[in-house]
Amino acid sequence: MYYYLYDTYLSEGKYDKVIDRIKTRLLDLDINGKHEKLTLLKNTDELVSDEVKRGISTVVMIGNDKSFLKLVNIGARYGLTLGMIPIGDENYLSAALGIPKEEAACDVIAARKVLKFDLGKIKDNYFFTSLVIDKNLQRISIQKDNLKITPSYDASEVEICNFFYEKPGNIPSAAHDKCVIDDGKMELMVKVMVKETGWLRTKTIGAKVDSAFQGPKFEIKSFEYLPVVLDEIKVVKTPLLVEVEPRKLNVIVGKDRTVKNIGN
Amino acid sequence: MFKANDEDDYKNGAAEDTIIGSAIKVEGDLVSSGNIIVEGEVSGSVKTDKDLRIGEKSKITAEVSAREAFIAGKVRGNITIQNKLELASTAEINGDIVAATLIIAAGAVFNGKCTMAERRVAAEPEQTVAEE
Repeated sequence: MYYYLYDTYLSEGKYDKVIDRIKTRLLDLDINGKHEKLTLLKNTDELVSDEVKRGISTVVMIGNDKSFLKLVNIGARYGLTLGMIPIGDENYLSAALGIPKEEAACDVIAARKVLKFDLGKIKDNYFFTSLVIDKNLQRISIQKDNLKITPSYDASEVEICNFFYEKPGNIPSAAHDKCVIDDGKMELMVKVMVKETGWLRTKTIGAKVDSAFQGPKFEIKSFEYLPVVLDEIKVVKTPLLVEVEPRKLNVIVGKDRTVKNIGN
Repeated sequence: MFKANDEDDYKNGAAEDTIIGSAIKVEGDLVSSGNIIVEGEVSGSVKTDKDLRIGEKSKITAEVSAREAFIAGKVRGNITIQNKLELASTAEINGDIVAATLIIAAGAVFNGKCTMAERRVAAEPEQTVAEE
């Protein structure tokens, strides 16, 4: 049984036609299920929890990258299989997973090629892509096994990456190539700003990876509470212990995916 | 310095490679199964089964151990290299060296004792080191 969730921004009239086409295609492929539109008053976690009690095991999010990432925590908690049907802009994650846009994605859902992904874990919070700290980096230290890593004033961002996908602003590096979805490790990256000096002013181009470490566990320590952003949607505070949960999340992927995996 | 097989390992995610840039300071025991590149500050110990590259601006106060190494920065501590150790003209070593092959460029500073070890074949276990 499938449970289809439509993100809030799809309530705009301009998406009506594409939603109708998706529903028709799902009927044609005989993978219909319960459809629900999210609103600001409906909590995704509560809706999914209720449906899990009724026997749902596959949840498909119709929306964009952020819509899908909202499902990760609850999906990991209940061991659900997650799918996505991308609509609109900001669908770089689905491109990395090999899922085409709009009704073409229904064929991927029907083919049901499932890969197991590692997830990052901080207490009860799971994250799929990365954890980022970009403020007061000189006040933190990161412990990896017997190693203490202290960022200097040059560091602009600390990222613990579980899954990397290309999108504007993400400059790929050799360290990102190490992000394998089921290797049981995460990549700690310390980044510095890359600046370009012109005639009149200096322009910031983006952040470049300066240092990189791999490991299954990192401890971030600080003297004060500093904000840490998970998957660009959730904020937690330091100090914290970040661990990898190997092969924790089942995700439906397409043929043209660019992600690297060891086995399934 | 990094060989074709190492590059494959790197791309497949098999080897655990470490890059220490200039934006961090590292203290403690750095043990890795992959290549290590150091461009920043390290104190403690650095140990890898693969290759080590120490950049020009790096400062290392540590016991260093690797399969092969290229050093262009400052190292204070003993260095044990199974195969080839190359010191660039900007290298400054204060400590003893054990290596099978040693290349020192003109201009490099080396204060310490040097022992030439027998070259270790990649497939062999740690026999040669034990003989040392």
